[in-house]
Amino acid sequence: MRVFLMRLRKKHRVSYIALWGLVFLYGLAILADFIAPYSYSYQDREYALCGPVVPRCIHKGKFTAPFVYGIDIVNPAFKEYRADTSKMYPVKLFTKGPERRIAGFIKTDRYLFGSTEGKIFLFGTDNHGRDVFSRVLYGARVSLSIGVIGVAVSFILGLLVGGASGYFGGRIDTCLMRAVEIIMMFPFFYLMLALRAIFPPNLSSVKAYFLIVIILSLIGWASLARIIRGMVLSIKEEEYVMAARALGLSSFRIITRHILPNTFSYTITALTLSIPGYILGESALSLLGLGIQEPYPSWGNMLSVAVGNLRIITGAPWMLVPGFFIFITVLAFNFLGDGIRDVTDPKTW
Amino acid sequence: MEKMWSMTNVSKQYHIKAGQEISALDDIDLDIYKGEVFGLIGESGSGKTTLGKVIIGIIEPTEGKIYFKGRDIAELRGKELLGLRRESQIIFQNPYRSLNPRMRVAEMVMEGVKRDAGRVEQREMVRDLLQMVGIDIENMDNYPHQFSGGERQRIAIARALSTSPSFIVCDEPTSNLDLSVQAKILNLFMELKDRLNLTYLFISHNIKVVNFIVDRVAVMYKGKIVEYGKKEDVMKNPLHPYTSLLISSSFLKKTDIAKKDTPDKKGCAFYPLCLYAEDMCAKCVPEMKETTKGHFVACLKRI
Amino acid sequence: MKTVLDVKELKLALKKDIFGVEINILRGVSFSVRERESVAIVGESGSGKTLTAMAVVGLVPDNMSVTKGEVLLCGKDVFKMSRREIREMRGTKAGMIFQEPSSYLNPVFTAGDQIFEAIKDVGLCRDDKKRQCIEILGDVGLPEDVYCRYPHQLSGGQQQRVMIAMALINKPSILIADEPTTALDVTTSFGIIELLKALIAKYGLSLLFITHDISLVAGFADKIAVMYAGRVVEVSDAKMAIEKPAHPYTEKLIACLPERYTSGERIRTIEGNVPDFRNIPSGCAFHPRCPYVMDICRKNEPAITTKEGFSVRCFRYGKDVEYDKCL
Repeated sequence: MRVFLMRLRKKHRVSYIALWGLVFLYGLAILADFIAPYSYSYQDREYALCGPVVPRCIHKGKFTAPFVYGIDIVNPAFKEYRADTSKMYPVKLFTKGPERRIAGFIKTDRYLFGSTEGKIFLFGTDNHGRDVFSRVLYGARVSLSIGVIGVAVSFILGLLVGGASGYFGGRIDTCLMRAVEIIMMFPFFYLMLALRAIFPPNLSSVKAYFLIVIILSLIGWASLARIIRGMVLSIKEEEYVMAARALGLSSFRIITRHILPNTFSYTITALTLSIPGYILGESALSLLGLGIQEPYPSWGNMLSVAVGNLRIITGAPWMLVPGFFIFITVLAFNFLGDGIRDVTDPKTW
Repeated sequence: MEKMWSMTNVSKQYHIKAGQEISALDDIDLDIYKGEVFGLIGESGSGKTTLGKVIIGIIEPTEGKIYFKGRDIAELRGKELLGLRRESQIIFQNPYRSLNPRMRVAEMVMEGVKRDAGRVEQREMVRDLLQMVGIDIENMDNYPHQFSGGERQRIAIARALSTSPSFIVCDEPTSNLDLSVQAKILNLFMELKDRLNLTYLFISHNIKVVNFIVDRVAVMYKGKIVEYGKKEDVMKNPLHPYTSLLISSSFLKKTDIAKKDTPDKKGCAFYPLCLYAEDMCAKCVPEMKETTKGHFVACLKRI
Repeated sequence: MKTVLDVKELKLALKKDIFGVEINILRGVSFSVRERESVAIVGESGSGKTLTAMAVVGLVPDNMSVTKGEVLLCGKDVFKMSRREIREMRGTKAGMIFQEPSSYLNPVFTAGDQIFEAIKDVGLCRDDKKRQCIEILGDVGLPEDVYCRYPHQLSGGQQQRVMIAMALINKPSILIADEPTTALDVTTSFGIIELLKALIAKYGLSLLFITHDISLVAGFADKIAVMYAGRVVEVSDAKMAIEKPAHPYTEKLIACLPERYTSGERIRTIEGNVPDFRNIPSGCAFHPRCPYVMDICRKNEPAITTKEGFSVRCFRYGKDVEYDKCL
């Protein structure tokens, strides 16, 4: 593992940075309870659609301990706010707040940072007055994990089906490929809707979450299976595969040990490039109200409020921050995929 | 001498399109005896590589039977089939393609080693095998691309030996190697044969190499065996016109060939190029007949 | 007799990396080819023979540069030519053919089209050009209908003949052939060699034949130049090179030929391995494997000693040391 990381750092600086960037993002998601100053459902209706309220260090030209200004409500109807420089609320680390569990385990009442009297809205608030920063952190849990789990399931299915299909040929191949084609025949989006519609619309969020993961995986494995099958067909004729057959190894071992590893150069890149698709798939479902329901946040459903709403986009652009996070996650996975593919190819060592 | 392999009427046809078939092997009869090095000479399209793969069963023939130690290999199943696989191995021509680029060398050679032994023992056996073929065991956990062509071929040999076979098909094992490396690999083959009591089917287009290493030799042309016998007989006294052509071309001696048309595809396959051919040759396929003891040829003119 | 190609102490190195280290690939290549002469360069992989062939036509890879020496093609230094001159030179002064003819022929054009395209004489009209193509097809032993065939419809031998036609259509002074028969069958390759001999006689051509098989060229080349670890170590008359090899490497290489042994004997191989170009031994590069090694061989590099009929880099023939040291 260490060797792998060292190689990545040497050969693909960008990819190495991307790896740590993703580790950081996942870290934020796991520790959301600790880092986010507010819970995802905490509402401050007075301050709906308020711009970012960030801790400052300079007051009237002098350095002071970090603090936030108070918020002066200029016009509640048009949601205009201004910093009230007369009121200064100190910002401290490890402030006390409502008790909760970090990642479901550790009970604590401390938060990484916060202000007991003032409001810190690092990314502003949404139309319900909820802190966007906190919701982004909690939403990361859904969006980041759905991508990874969904892709993992798809890929295992796709590899095994494609591998078996390509290696054995004949009737197995025909049956499996016809099944794949039937699945691919349906327009992805409608299939997704149809599968979701089979289940009641008001599922508990946990169930809805798993349902979405399963739906996305079941659709995604098909095109991968087809491509893997093609690769297997050509790798099957390579001499080292024939040598493996001559050694009397079982078909399963030949497929998993000799053939599939040689598809990794494609598989890994495809894997990392699909993750964004799943993240966006989840957003699409959420957009239509079929995904993660309010009040639980996901980057997708946070965006759904802003999408199409010109007033919000121009008046409260901080609502698009989840989109930025999706962007950097997708980018990071892309770079990481490139790096992994290059580094795991033994020929480049 | 004990007969190890016996092929009777073996043919292999490949179906390209509807109605178009290519005959890679056409009615082959062949016996290989235990302990000998049997050579197979031919050019591209002769079917020699296909024969090598068919005999040990990694390609199935369209017709005919293959007997290993008296048993029809098409009837073997399960444990017995596994036994055949382990007893007969194959080494390929291209050392750059016959090794899995994503596996470490030690792992590759370990795959064939007996599974019931513990992991430590298995690794010990791999070490012995690699030493036997002359690979530095310090490098045993490296990947194939870190080795030279000659070394890779040695690794392929070690892999073939990992199942303790009694028979190895060597399909042009030195054709991609430099002269000095080829010399070492040929020496290695001879040494392993003596040490491990191996039988070889040595396939090559290089007459000089075949002449050095084999005991008996067969010449193939377009899917058929046209001549076979003891090496000295075939090389010093070639009966089939194609054999003479091959030998003189190898030694850069000019030989004339004919250029005739073939209206049908019947008759002797060598007819278009044969100087001695008569009308009879274009009509019927010559049968294999024995001339002197152990020397067989399929030619109507030479009997 | 005029010298068509003169390579003088050619040295090629990889461009300096960030540490300023220069790795030498060709460490001193000298040989010449006269009119109507066929010279064979014999070497194993890693000897630098293909690179030498490329350098002769100015095709030095981007990551390498010429550090010393010159290549005089028909009297002109190839590395001092302008790009236009080099382009003109290729094809008209020197033609090249390669090992795998199928890779070097464009699969979507007919054989005839490709030969046609190779004609450099702008003065000719279309019909004249076509006539020339048909004529050369005859010279290389191919029937006229090959003109309309695509490469995949031709056999390996026929493809190689098409390549030869393309290389010779502009009547160059020298044909450079890089392992042209290695990928071909025995009978086909014999046919190609016979063809080359005939073309040398007909066109007054010189031939530079690169190969790893010394027994192949002993039969038809005039001179043999043996390369080892980036240097030419011996240049001899072909027959002499086989019967009385001057350099120990040549001697040991010939001893590796299987046809020199009877059944049951072990081939006398060369101990050790060909050195990697990054780790060339000090002094004479062959010294770790040489049966006649002397003290001086370990320390110094031998200069070229010329005797009757051959020139060789070996201290057994002369004590001249090469002072122009490479890294």
